Amino acid sequence: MEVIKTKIDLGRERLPTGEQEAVFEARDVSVYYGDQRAIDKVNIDIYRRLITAIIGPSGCGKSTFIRTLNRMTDLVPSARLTGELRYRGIDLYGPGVDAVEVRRRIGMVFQKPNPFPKSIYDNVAYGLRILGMKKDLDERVEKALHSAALWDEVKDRLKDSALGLSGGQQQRLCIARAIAVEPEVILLDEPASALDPIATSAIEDLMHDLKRDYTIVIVTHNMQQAARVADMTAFFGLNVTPEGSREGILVEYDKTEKIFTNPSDKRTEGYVTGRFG
Amino acid sequence: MEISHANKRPDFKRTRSLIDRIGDPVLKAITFIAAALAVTVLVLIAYELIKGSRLAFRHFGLGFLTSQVWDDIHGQFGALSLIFGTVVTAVLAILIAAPLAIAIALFLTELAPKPVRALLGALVEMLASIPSVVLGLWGILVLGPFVKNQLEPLLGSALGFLPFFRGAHSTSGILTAVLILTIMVVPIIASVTRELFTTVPPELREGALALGATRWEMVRGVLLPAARPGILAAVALGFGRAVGEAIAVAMVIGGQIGIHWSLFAFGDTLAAQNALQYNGADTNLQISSLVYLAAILLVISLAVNIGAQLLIRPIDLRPRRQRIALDRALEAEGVSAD
Repeated sequence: MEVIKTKIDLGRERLPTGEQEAVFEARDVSVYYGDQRAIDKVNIDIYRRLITAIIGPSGCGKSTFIRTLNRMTDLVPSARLTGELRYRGIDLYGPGVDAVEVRRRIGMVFQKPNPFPKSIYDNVAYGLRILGMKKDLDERVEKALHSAALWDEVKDRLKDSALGLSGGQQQRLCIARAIAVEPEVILLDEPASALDPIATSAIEDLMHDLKRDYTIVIVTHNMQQAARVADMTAFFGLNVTPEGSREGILVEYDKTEKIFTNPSDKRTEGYVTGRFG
Repeated sequence: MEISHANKRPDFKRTRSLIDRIGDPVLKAITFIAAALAVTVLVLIAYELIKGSRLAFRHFGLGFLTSQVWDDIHGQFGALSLIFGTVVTAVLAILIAAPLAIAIALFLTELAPKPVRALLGALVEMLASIPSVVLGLWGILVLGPFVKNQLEPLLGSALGFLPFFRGAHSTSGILTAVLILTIMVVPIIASVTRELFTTVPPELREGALALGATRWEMVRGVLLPAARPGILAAVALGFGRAVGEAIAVAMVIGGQIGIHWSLFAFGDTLAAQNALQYNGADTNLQISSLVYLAAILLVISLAVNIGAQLLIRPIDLRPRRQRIALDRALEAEGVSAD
């Protein structure tokens, strides 16, 4: 635990690209499912308009952690969070904070493409309609599809079912759906793990484009992907407690280049060089 | 370890015993017979109904459908008021039951805490297993007096300006029958709809909620549309049950021929009339007329069933070859055809 805190303090002294503003500040964030602790005392700052990758072995709590960032963890009745998670200075789990409002500002794309069983157009328009952003609906839908690099492929069949798209197109549609409502942050939970290499590369290119306007956090089990797209990388590891239960901890967090070429922690080095996984 | 057949050239001769090999043809035969039996029974029933109703059909023709008379002394029979009673009670019961049942299913799958889900779900299913005679008895003893003393006076005073809520209050009548049918139909629709909701992938719910949808917006915009075809089927199933219910309805509807617009009035249905009169029928013509009623009932049930199937899955009129090719192409894309 001590190691991690020092590490974070170091990180805060040398911010990655000059005076970057931290969007998320996690302080001793632990998440429990019932009595089982899934992640233990995570301390991390996530910076504005950078791509932050979260990597680590299965079961290390990386999905759990990204889901705390827009309060999707609330959907699991037994889940409980301790510590403090601030978003632009506001305690996300503080009193008076509405999870629905949080999710309106912090969008999310999931591992498995999950378009609604509606037309392509209605998928993108869904969020806009429920948020009352009905003015210039057509333009907004088109803009979102452009941003998700999908417009040219679907512009002639907007009224067709989204379920007729390929997996990669479906995932880009989900990204379009998420950015249509103009969030500030986009969380991507293993967005390419169900896609083939070509679709994956399209998603990665897209992330580079989106970085200009959005803060992006991506969970990935693919280290090459993290190395390719991320500015900052957080390595989560597994800690086996004396009682034998496994919980996720943040081992190391630094610039991506540092994590992959010269990590400070032996465990990170073991993971990124493939000796441990 | 030595692998016994590693060095032997295979000759691919049949080696398994007849007992092992007989399974496939036997399975095929049994399943075919079972499927054929189901169709045969339906055809036989239809045949019997046509045969049994021939006398009444010769006598009254299609005029049977438009005549309200049911006079066993003078041998004059007509089905109109019974068709009216059947359709009115079933439609009203469905109108009340469907929203209620969908709400129950939503509560059970989306809102209720886990332990409550299991308990309440089991109770709702148990409601479906109450024998209709027991429900009819409860209708006479408990629901009827409540309808007469509380519900009808209330409806009469609040909505008495409408023709549907006028007339003398009584324990039995169309309103009581509608409520009994509602109680019978709710658990059917609720349990089927609950199953449907659980088959909607959780990723769809998460997708909506992650966009900042409230639970209600998620339900309305994603869950209900995704389950819509199945809900229609469940409602059709419930409607079929309501149309065909005889005993419980016969016990509480009052058993009176005639078309009345007031829900407080007595009425009768095709099924209830059959259940009550068949044993006491005096003439061949009356028996034949009752079978005619049964045939009409069967036609209504089948029509509802076929209508529901059409709503759920519009018949695919594309040539078969083209359809298969398209489905294959979709599959190759990783998209399921349905």
